[in-house]
Amino acid sequence: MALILGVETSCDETSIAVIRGDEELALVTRANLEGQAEYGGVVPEIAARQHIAVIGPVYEQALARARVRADDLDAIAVTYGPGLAGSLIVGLNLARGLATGLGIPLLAVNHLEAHVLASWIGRPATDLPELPAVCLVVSGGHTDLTLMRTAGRHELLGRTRDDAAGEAVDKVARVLELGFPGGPAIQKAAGELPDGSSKPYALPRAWLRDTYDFSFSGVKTAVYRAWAGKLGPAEEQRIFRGEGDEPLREREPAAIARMAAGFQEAVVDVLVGKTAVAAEEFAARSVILAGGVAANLALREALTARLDIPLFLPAIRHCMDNGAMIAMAGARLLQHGQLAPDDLDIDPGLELTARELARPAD
Amino acid sequence: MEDVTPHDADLLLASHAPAETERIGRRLAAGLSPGLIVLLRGEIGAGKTVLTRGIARGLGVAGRVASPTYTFVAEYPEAVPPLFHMDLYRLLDAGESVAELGFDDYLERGGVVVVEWPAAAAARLPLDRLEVRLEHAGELERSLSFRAFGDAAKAALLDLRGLPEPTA
Repeated sequence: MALILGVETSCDETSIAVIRGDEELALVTRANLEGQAEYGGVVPEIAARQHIAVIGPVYEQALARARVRADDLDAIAVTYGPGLAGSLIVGLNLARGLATGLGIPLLAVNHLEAHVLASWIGRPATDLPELPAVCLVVSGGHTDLTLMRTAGRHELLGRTRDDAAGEAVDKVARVLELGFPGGPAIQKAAGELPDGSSKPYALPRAWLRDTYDFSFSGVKTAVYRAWAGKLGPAEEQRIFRGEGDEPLREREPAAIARMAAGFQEAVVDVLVGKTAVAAEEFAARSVILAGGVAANLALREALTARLDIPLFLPAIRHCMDNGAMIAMAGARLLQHGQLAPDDLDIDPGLELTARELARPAD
Repeated sequence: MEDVTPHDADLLLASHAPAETERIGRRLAAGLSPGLIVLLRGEIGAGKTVLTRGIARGLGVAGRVASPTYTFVAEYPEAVPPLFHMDLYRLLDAGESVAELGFDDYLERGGVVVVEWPAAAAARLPLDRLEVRLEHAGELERSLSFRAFGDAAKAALLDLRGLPEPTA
């Protein structure tokens, strides 16, 4: 069983993991950008400085927790895209240095592909999704719906036309003054909806008929307009169901809960609806959920309830960006002898549909 | 959330729907010269990304133009001139502690830089710039006020004259 170190620095998280086979031995993650007072640096590279500051200790800690030595490693896997250029470079530099210094293979991992593989971690190798599979990758930066007919080959069915789902979640949480990160905050606020009489507010869903594309700008805007007291009479009638509510003007906890629940419901409805239609149209034999928004319990439950084919869900801690999924994707590459070229460079705009991918279901 | 500094507009336009905001962006694109910075101010859902999409279309970008909130910047090298779409939303809490925005790199590449949520950039704005404030005026209606600082910015507004202005 190969011992693989996975390095992830594509966006805000500095994360390094050690896996043996499909088993995670250690995962150490530092979330960098938000909540920190120091933003010194050049904007496009702003996260890079923070990765540089913590990546050494994160690496040492990952080895210590896995109780292995660098000499024991069989390969180094690293995200080479997509992501922020300055951040990707930090991870690639560390990984290349280690691979060269230790004389072991370097494995180039597509970050989005790794998200798709996150639900494999710790799962028996015999229990893999049957193809074709529909994959929904939802995060702060992506909302991609793809079809995987053969292992590791994604065809893009649809994606967001404006805001990614996770981005809308973070922005709405900020509007409602629920804090960051937005996902857990919205989920918690929505959970405080009292049972019985009060229903979630009826926020708009952008179904965009006859396409698998998504749009989350409209629902985000509706929450902002409601919160800011900017709704016209027609909007108020639709959103507050004509129940004569004093829309959020009081900003009472119950109103915030109804708004958070209404927003969550609107986002989940569209994600689940389109995924289910795609699964049916392409006669999918499994569905794979991936990305930070995959940690949302309402989304997990709604997808589980809606689908009558196997659904692959990553563990909650493997939803956010993490080194374990990078190591996992790296393990697949190593199995197939797909080593990184010597002149491997970062690719900030890399797509899930790129051709050189790990082959997950082999 | 965004700083609100009232200013005398050089031009006021009314939009009745996102498609119209996009058309305004398309028209605006024709007057944008390499090296110009366009700042877009306005609350959530005011149409900043939609206006940028219009600018991108006007500069010849055919593909998707989505919000770059998580990546800070989206580059469109295929645009003429090249377009750099920045979004400083995630730096709203940073105040003015951002050391540098990296504008110069983009401008040296002969590009047009469009910046959403520019609050973090306040201390480092170039003298020649176009500022656009977008405001909610109804469910779909928005008002756009333009202010030009410098000659290149003033020239950019020439192509927008004659579009509908707010009736109020």
